[in-house]
Amino acid sequence: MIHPQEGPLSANEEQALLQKLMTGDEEAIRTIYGRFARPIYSLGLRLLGSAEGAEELTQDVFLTAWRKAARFDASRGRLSTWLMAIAHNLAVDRLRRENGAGRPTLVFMEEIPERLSDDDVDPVLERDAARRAMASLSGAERSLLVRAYFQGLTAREIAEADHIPLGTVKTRLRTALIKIRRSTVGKEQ
Amino acid sequence: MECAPVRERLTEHALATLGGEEQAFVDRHLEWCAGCRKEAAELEQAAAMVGLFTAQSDPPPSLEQRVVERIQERAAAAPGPWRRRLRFLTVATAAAVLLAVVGVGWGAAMFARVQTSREQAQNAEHRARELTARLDRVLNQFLATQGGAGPRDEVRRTVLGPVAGHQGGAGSIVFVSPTQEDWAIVIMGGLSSGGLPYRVTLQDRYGEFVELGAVRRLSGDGSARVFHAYHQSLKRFTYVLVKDRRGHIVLSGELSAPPVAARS
Repeated sequence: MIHPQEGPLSANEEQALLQKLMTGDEEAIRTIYGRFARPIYSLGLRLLGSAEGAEELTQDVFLTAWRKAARFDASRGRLSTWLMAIAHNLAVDRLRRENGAGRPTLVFMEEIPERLSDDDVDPVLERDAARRAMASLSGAERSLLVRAYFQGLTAREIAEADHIPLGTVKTRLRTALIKIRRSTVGKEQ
Repeated sequence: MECAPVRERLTEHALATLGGEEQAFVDRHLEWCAGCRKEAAELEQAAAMVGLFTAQSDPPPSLEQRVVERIQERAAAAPGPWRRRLRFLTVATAAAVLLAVVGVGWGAAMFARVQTSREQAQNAEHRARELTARLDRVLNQFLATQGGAGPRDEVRRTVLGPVAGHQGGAGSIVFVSPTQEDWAIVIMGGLSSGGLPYRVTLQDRYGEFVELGAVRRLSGDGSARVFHAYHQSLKRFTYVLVKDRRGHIVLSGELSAPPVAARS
């Protein structure tokens, strides 16, 4: 079961957790699992379209985190975003392996909720930051990001589908990510 | 390599929408460019926030214990600081055994393939094939000492032959895994001491390389071995090269393409 966790971890705490993870420390594994398994599993469910795929992805993410723990630098970013980046990359790699070379065809996409429900008590406070960051985007920027991140559409495919210049799409995607980055860096400081 | 074409692709790199070739192109640049690496990391962190913005579902209760067990199993098998030293000694011992089995004739046989008359070259070729088969068996045994290969692991091997005008030969294994450290071993024989120190590298098809090790002295029979484990992935490297002190390639081999080796 998911263990409720209180309060965000400091950078030092996150670094220390990863140090312990390297040794296979059970408490460290369960602490990280308790905080981050749910968003990782949820991302897997939406990208891979099956509970089985999401479970395998979650295990692979934690194994990869253990393997790469020495490379995590808490001064460069949060543990949550590090783990989510691993999860997204592994999911896309898996889809590419299963669908052949090239862009992954995502099996399943659900409507992205505009806001968290009142019942959605979440131990990962970065999700609150993520919601605010996404809210800072225009509707067009949010749609672009969702199509790229969750549907795996390339900038060229979006440009062709929307009949707008490729450079414009790339610029808008980059601007959207920079806005998200700026809104979250403000919170970290 | 200029940064502009890479920076143009960093957003899609962060969103994992680049194709394989472009992904590899960007990854190669990020290996050495700190400025682009910093920007890439920031964009990746922002992209990861998008992943957090999704409806949540609880994983099944049993998954936590499975994750704990899987990590602890790997951690128990993996080399810690003292285990790394032990693994290196195991590698050194295995490499010594391998050389003993293959014998001094290994390097000489490889050298003879390119140096002698047609009949002698055919005999040398036959001997080299025999030695290659023996080398392959011993490499498999060595692989087993490292825990074997999992279903998604890749084991690539090659026999390095001498470049014209040089002597010697080598065998190599490169182990690529999504969940363990990647590693590579090269065992050489029949080298000339006049070429010391030798540098052993793994190279990709674009010419970019990673160091595997240096050979500063040879055993009495002209043999040596290098072994290195890596945090980075070795997936993209397809050639194993041994260069002499002048930077000339003396031995080269192309790694076999995956498929994945079965668990031994």
